[in-house]
Amino acid sequence: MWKPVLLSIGFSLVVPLVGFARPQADVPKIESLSVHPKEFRLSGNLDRLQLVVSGVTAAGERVDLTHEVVYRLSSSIAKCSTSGLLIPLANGTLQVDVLYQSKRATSQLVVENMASQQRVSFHQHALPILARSGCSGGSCHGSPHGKGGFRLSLFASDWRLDLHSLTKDQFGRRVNLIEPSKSLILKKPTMQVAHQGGQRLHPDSPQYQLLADWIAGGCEVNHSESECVGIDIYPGENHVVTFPFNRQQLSVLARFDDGSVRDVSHLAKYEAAATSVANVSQSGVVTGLERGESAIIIRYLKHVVAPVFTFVRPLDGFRWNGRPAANYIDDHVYQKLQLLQYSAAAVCSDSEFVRRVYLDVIGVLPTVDESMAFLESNAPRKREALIDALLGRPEYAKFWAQKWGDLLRASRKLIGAASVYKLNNWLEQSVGENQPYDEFVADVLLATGSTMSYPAGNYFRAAGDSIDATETTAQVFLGTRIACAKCHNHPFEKWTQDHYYGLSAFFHRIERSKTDREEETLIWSRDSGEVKNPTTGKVVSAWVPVTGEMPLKSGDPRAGFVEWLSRKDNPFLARVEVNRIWAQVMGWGIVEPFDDFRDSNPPSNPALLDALARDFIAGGYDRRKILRTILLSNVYQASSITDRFNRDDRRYFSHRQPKKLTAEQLVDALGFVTGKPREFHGVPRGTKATWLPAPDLKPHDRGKIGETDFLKVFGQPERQSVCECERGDDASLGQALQLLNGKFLHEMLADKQNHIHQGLANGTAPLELIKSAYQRALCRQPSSEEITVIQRYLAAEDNKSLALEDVFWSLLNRNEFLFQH
Amino acid sequence: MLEFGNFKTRTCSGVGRRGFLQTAATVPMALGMGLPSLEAVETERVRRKAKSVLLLWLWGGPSHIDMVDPKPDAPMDFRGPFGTISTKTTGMRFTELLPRMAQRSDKFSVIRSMKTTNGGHPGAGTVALTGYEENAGPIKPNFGSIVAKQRGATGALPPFFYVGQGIPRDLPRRIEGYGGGTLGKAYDPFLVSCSEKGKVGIPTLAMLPKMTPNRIQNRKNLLADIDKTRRQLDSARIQDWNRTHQTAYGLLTDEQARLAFDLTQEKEKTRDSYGQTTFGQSCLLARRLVEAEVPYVQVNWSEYVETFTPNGDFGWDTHIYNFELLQDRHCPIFDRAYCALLDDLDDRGLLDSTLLIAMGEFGRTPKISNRAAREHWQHCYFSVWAGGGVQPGRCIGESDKTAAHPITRPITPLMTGTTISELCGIGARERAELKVLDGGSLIHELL
Repeated sequence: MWKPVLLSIGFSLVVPLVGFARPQADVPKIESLSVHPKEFRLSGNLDRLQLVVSGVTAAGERVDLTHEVVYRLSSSIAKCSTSGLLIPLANGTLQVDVLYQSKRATSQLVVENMASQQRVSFHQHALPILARSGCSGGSCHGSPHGKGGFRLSLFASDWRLDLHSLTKDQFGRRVNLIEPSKSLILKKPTMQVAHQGGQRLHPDSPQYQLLADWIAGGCEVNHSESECVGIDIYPGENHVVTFPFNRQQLSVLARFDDGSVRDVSHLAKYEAAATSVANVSQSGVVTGLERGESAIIIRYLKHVVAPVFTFVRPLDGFRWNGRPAANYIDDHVYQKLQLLQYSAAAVCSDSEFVRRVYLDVIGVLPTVDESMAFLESNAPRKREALIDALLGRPEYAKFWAQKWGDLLRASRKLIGAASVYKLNNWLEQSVGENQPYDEFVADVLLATGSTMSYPAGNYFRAAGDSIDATETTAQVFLGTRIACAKCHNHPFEKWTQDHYYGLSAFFHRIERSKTDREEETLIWSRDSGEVKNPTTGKVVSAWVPVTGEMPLKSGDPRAGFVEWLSRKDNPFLARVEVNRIWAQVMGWGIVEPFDDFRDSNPPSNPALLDALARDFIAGGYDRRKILRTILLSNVYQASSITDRFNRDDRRYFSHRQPKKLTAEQLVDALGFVTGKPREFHGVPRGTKATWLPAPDLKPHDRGKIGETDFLKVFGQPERQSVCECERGDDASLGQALQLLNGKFLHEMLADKQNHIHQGLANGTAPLELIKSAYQRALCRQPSSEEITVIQRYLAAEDNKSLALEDVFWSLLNRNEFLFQH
Repeated sequence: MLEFGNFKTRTCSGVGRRGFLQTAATVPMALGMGLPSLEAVETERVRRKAKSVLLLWLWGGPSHIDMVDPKPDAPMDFRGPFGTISTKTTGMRFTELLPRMAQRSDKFSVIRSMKTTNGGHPGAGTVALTGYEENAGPIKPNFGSIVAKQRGATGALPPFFYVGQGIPRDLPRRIEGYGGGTLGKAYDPFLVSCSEKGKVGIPTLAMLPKMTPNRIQNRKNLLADIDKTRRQLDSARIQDWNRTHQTAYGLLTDEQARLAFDLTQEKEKTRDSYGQTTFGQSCLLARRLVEAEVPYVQVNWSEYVETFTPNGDFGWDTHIYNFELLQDRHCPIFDRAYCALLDDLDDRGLLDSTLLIAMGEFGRTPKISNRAAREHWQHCYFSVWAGGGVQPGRCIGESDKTAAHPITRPITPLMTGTTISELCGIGARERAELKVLDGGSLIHELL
């Protein structure tokens, strides 16, 4: 049945010798040569084998030569394309000699079962092809409701549904057994009939032919076929591709439960996670586009692996400029930078450092006295001393309690005002006393009893049912967004619907009973109760990632979950928390977004993340200590000034990325520089925005709504969802207009009680007012050039106080002020 | 009526495409046709021609049974007091409250089988404007944000406008789905208001006391001069911010950009035809923004959802005085403004490239309440579609005999958003790349 397609792949008719010479300049000089696999067994005429040939250069770089070498076959029982794809022709044994420069490597092959035509398999061919072509992807026919009336299970997870959809649904109009090429499932993806999903298959491709043959064979399904138990990728994890040899052929071997191994390279689906760094063709050729790293996601049926490939582009004139490491953080970051040839930025100046570390640790700018004292100090380890002093200040607890308030969704609307205060006090106390993180997590997740006595229990009021509690817990403590799996298997990851409900079994028995006291709720656990998968209607057993099913013990199932979570080898608890702390001070997570851990979103520096997590666990889950370690590193103290070697780096921490002050930091900073701090409703006088226990303490006032709230415009989260995306730092037009022409800043500047007008009234010279404003806003004195510009402006304006407002305005609109750098 | 599976398919004017397919597939012999001819039907392609989308957001829940889906044969306590009138669309009748629209029904299509999942204003508002419930968080982007993201701004004007602010004013919180959601705040709508006198309010552009365009210019120059003295910070985030800053300056100082907001540029007759009402003049402003090539404009009927609220502006949430208000205020204003806008767009040759939609977040209870009004009803409501590649003159979907539930395939907000994006040229692939509207399908009946 299947003949003509083979020609299209570019087979040489001179079977034994395949290959072509390439211009000398492109050719890497190699020291050794190897071929993968070294031996293999091909069974039946549909089997294929993709060879992968690698050379090692004198510099120790591995180079993919699959498409460059000459293949010499010892007999004609198979043929081989120039790209190393073998097709069996007859039974027998065969040696493939791979020749390159003067080197040689060999692979021994056996071909068998060629006597009769092999049938195209529904499971092993048809379904993988539909997945590979994208048909059963989550945004196409694999979506829960299908597309255009045609529904497939997500990546062939339910073959019965697929078989029905393909052959029976709509009166079987999608396949035409008599004339297979007239089948709608072939005409649509080839665009012979209009197809919203575009062209997904080429009529000349072997995949098309396999599908056509499957239809011609009567759409058979053989239930006794062996089942795939896993796939192996070559080359695997941590492979480095060095430009200019930026190409790498992949091989995908599938292991089956009968012990056999088959090559599925031509049936697997390939995707690059970072499309700016690499792309990957559907024949499994990865091409590097620029330096960096990308997970390459490879899928065959339900099996997914995502090895991370590193792409290195040697740069002219690059010389590693790293300085001695201050601690292990620098070691790991510098190693990565060196590999990718990003230079490391110099350490920032004292005035940059003092501003940066105040904002990161206690959320506010240093006073004039504080910054001057630091700048003028000659103490040898004054940065370390400052870090320690700040970590001991009460504002540290207040500021970091607010971050936890975001995650636990402390808002008046969800839990009530009294509960907001209580929860905030508890958080502040936990951070202030440096409660070990595992104990903190246990306090939250095992909260029992009155929420008035045990405010952590408000976690289960904000997350008011088992679904919400499951999703929130997964996101906050496992760094995983699993909501997709509620309705269907996760489109990209290994999460299935059973996993989702298996996880929810831990939270299913929680009861929330209201008492007579306003807002008070008793949190307790029922003794029994099971979760059913709504799709299958079957009871699901409790399940946790990595470990798998975990039978519930009697009593409160949360105990089992927390016990698992706080095991020393738990892959989530420590990594998620150190990554979150890192992201909060660095402005970018090692995993980014920092609450989105998944195989296809790997850490940019796994060794660093692991080292931090190890240190965190070894130190007894000490949050303050890990923060201190980060702050002491050169990486944290790096300057934001870039050079041509690290300008385009966003992920590897070669330099400081300026980040906009958060809404609360900005409001405090504006009030501090102008001398007119904003007052807030429902908190004691003098409370800073960075200490607010909730965003909605002010009761709703019908008359006043519609007024834009500065905090909201700048991204203060409403705390309606736990997603970190609620606090976006992207620029909006509303923000720019607020600063250029908004009432909030305008009134601050015009206020008669502020530093400008008070200072002028007291007879202070304008220049002095400006100098102290610069010190407050930027932790530095204005330069002589700046003073010249300012004085020229003041001289030209008649109204001195308005002109001084303008000068303050220009200070507060400078990027150097609006950003932390 | 044809019955297939668990729902019935029919359009008022005959058999719909799907229904036709299904019939044909059921009785190929009777109709004398087989598979090949089906393919011909399948090749019908979606026309993607909407350059702008203009959404009239009838916030509060307009009563479908008292407007476009009357049930004169229903019992007294359902049907309400209004008589029905014929329209230009065969088999479709409106209540007597929409006489102008009835005269123009060949220019738009009505969907009578809308259905949503949420029965409260903010929640249903998010579903209606994003396609998804808000509690599954993260909040998905508003349909307008998706179009804004894909199209970008034209000139100095932002790509996504809300005309009529307050979303809404009188609820404890705003609709979460009002803006950019997962696409970011950068795609939030730009808020302007418009008074019944046609005065456009842009609070962030209004000059504050002692501020003049001249002083803004001086400040800008000062900032530029002082920035020149020092090495500037540089990063992708800073560049984003600098661009945004420039746009804001443009809006504050660019006269040309501000011209789009100036309704006095219109003929008195034109302004009159829309009605001297907030909604009417807002519709006129929206047309000017469409002319200025703004990709997405949402006109909010009111700032307040409730009909009666202190200082309120009469939303569609008619828990009391439903019949009185619809007859004396809401329907006359809507009927007039909608038809003026439709005619105006048509006269200017803009209708073909402008997708005009009118809808609320849900409908109202078919059974009249003991306050002689109607409550929230998410199980069945309506939307009206015109221009931008939509087939006009159709009545799509059907509700049961009391307008309580669709008896044809229910049309959901997710389908609304998917169809809007498709008509704007944001196809399945682009949607997948933006990670928006996952799982949405098209309202084929409109195309």
